[in-house]
Amino acid sequence: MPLPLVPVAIVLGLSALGGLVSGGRGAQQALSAKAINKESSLRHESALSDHKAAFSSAEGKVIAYGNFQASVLSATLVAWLTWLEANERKVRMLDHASVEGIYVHEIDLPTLRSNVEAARGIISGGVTALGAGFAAQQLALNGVGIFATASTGTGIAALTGAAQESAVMAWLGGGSLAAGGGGVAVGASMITGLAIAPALLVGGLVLGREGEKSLTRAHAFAAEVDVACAEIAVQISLLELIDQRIKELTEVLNRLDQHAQTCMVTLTALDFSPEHHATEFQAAAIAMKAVSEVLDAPLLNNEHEPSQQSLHIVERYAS
Amino acid sequence: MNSPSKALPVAQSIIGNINPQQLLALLVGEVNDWVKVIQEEGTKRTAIDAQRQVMLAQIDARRDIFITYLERSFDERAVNFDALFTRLEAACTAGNSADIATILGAITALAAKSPFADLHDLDLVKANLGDADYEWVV
Repeated sequence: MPLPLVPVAIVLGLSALGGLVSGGRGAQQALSAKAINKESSLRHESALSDHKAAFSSAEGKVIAYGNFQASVLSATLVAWLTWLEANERKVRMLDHASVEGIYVHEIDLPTLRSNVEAARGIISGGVTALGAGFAAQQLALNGVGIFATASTGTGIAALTGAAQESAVMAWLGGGSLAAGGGGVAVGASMITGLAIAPALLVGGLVLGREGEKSLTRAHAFAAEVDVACAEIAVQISLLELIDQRIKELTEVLNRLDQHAQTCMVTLTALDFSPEHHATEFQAAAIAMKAVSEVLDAPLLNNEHEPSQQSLHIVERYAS
Repeated sequence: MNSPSKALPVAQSIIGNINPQQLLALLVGEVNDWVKVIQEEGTKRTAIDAQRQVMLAQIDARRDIFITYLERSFDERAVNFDALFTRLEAACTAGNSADIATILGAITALAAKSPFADLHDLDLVKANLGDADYEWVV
């Protein structure tokens, strides 16, 4: 017996209506998801742009400090090197001598000579194939010890796009998105494989389900971007504090340099005699050693941990 | 021109091929699935938002710790450097070689120790920031 036409028509009509409602909601959710994704992508791009600007600024200051280090090397330490070479025979007579209980250590002339030449290269712009900018950057980051080894690093990339592996990024940390935006699907469509069903209920329900899921995926993406942007903001704050460290080392190096130059003026005014001028020589040697050690101080990481004795001396003299 | 009398048999032949029980089961099943997905996805979004809040709070807290630690470190180090250079001048005036050597050693030791190096150990930084009696070695 055939079905009654009217009741079936009513059911089908209601199904079509239900399909429109659920499908409509689904389409609305999908559109919302798309808008959320687009807004999230723009926010992330903006944060990355801010990070890039902060990094460029920090990089410029690092290079400027490296150039300052090179200028101290090529001026003050050149004067010391020149005096040592002129008085090498007399200085050897002082080796292992003691001045007020402090032994005069042998001075490593070859290394000093090499460091001075390298510094002159930075100043003149012709030190390495990679350029003076890279060399100044490495000098500032790692100290004068870099001149002792061949430079086989990645060059400017050490402080630019590939910064994740550098000393700066290593201690700054950060997640996959914060590390440089790799892997973020910009503007990715969150509606994939969505079949636009016919106007009956089943098609509308499929659209409805997919719309809900796409909205959830968009929420997850937005949350991930929020976290990444927050991490980026932390890194930017830390990058700005690098300037503090640069100012600190510049000030210390400046004052030590002035002290060393004063000692050199005293020494060069003498007709040097090891028997009579060991004290003046000692003062200059220690001053130059202090300048060299600060030149070798890394900007960020501690490559040479100071001894506990040295740090206790800080407490005693600074109190 | 089709007469109404011809449309009715066509409609009846179409509707007559529909199994009402199967249709009803299908529709009920799909509706249930849809409602379930709405609930599940809503729960997921709530969980995502909650996790997001937690992570952002952690990042903010960590940032505050790092920045406070570094700013405090740099302030104290500046005071220490000033004091050391003042004593260096006094030692130079007095011609005290032993003191000069010792003070220069202290200056270079302080300069070599970067405040950033401690940031790796967040627990250490937090513990020291919170310990009023802790004597900072900067």
